[in-house]
Amino acid sequence: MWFKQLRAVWNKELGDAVRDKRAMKIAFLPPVYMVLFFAVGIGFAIHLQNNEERDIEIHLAGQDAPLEAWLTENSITLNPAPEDPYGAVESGEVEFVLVLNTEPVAAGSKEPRSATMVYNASNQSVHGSVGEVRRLLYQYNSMEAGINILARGLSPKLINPVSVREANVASDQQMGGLILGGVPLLLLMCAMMGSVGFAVDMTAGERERHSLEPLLINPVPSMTLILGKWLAAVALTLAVVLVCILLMSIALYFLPFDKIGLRVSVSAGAMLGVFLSLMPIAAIAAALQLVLGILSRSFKDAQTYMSFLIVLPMVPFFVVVTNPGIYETWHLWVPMLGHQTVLRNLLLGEGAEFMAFIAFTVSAIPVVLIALWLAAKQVRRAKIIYG
Amino acid sequence: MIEIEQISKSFGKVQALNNVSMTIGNGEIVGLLGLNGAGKTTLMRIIYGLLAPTVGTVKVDGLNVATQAEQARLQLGVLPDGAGLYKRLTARENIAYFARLQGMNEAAITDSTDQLIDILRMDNIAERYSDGFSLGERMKTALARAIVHKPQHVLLDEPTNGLDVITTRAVRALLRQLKSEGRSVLFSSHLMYEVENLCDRVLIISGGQLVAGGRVEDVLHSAGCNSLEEAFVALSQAEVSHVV
Repeated sequence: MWFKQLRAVWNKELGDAVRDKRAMKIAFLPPVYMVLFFAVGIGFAIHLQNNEERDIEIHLAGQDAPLEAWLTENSITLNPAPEDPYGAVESGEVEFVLVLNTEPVAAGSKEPRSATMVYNASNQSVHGSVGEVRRLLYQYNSMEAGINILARGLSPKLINPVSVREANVASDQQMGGLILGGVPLLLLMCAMMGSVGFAVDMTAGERERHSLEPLLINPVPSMTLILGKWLAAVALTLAVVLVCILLMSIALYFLPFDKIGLRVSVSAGAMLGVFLSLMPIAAIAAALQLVLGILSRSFKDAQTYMSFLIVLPMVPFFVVVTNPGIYETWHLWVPMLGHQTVLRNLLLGEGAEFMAFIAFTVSAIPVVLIALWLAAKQVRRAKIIYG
Repeated sequence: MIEIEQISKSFGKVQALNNVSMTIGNGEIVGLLGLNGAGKTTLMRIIYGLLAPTVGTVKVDGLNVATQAEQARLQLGVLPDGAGLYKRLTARENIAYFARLQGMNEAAITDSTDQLIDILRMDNIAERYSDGFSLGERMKTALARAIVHKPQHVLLDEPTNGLDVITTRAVRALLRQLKSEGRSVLFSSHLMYEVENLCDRVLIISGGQLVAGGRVEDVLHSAGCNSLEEAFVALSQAEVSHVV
């Protein structure tokens, strides 16, 4: 009998959900725009990384032939500045003016000259050019100083006691990890929030439209009711997750990761791995949504509680992103913490150990059971039915 | 048979029901009368087991509602106060869902649903989503949903609320039919003529206590009044002034 009832609840909830246009939008629109924003964002980041040899155009006031030659040699295009450089920058007419001496520099002169960079620091787009020109100016400074020292019979090393170099040892894949760090978060959020609209309708919705009381008068054990609702919510979440993974695969496939020397895997195997990893999360999410939903009197009330679920996957995300290389095997046993690493590795084509899937599934079981038990216990309280 | 034995219920300091006992036999229609807040709905909720009494027991065909809740509920068909429908399901789907939860098989569900749709004149709304139903249409659907599994005992909280004359008559006919099949009906109402015409017995509840019970004539006699309305007002007011 209980199986028949379970099937009745599952069928009713699925049918009801599919007809619920509002909940369908809440479920299936976020994956679309999240993946879209992600694709645009990553595409832009790749574009910036790829444009190391960008053309810098600046405006120049005054004269300093050797310095001008040095800048031009280093691919800086020099345009004549307007008459009032400060005013022009302030008004936004031009972004960046380099003000040099007004008098021409006599050949062989050793008088100190000045170079003033006029820019508006609140203008974000100018920082790249300013940084590059500043670097070239310092380089020119030490070059000319070196020549002067050498002309006096001293070693140029004297004016450079500390030689500063930068060496970035991050491998391409690690760089990829940094860029792809957001993908596991996005997928986890899809799994966490996929069925929120449906689960709220199954719980707070029953309370709000006063259908919970007649429902509970039927001879159905509370656990059967909650289990039926939970199964329907999990199925709906998995549908959302599938859409999310599909869209993400398309985005990853078309984004030009190779331009920055990255290999991002969108093989069917990797995506299956991602789906399998997210299944336990969907189970946890649906159970938590039901228990939070049953405690809510109305849709509005439920929204307050559900925001808690959005924050959940962010905690492990920030832990892992701010501490790269923090990974340890026990992370697999903490829902969503191990996912950050495993999902990223899957995307980078590194695969995942079989143990990870077992750990994800086994660690989800107690969370789901406790949440469902709590929901079943709550649903028959007079305060919930009549509150 | 439904046996209600010495039921008391308090919410904090408020005593909603005080030592109420009654029996509802098979094949009888019993009307429950009371002013707003007298305790009718609380009593109903305790009978169908969603509210636990502070003291006392309720037995449905010998099954204790508190300890054998699911078996007891199999015998009950309940239209609670303000019952809500699933607005994205049609009237027929709303009825069938509860029938399935009652464990009926599909053939029986179709038969029983068709019959109720016919009796309650619901042909025009049967295949419509219940979103946008009028109060009367909602009541009819909720009523059909409550008794689709042909329960032995039927509890109805103001079942003719919001129904038009034609449908009210149909509901009355339905209740009489249930009675003739040997089922018991307990319904609460504010409509005196309805109770007078339909019920074998009347129970008047006031201030959480049963102040009168019996056949309509007996109640009139004990109150010394000519009409049920006068008797009801006199009994209810007496209790209210007594309580104050």
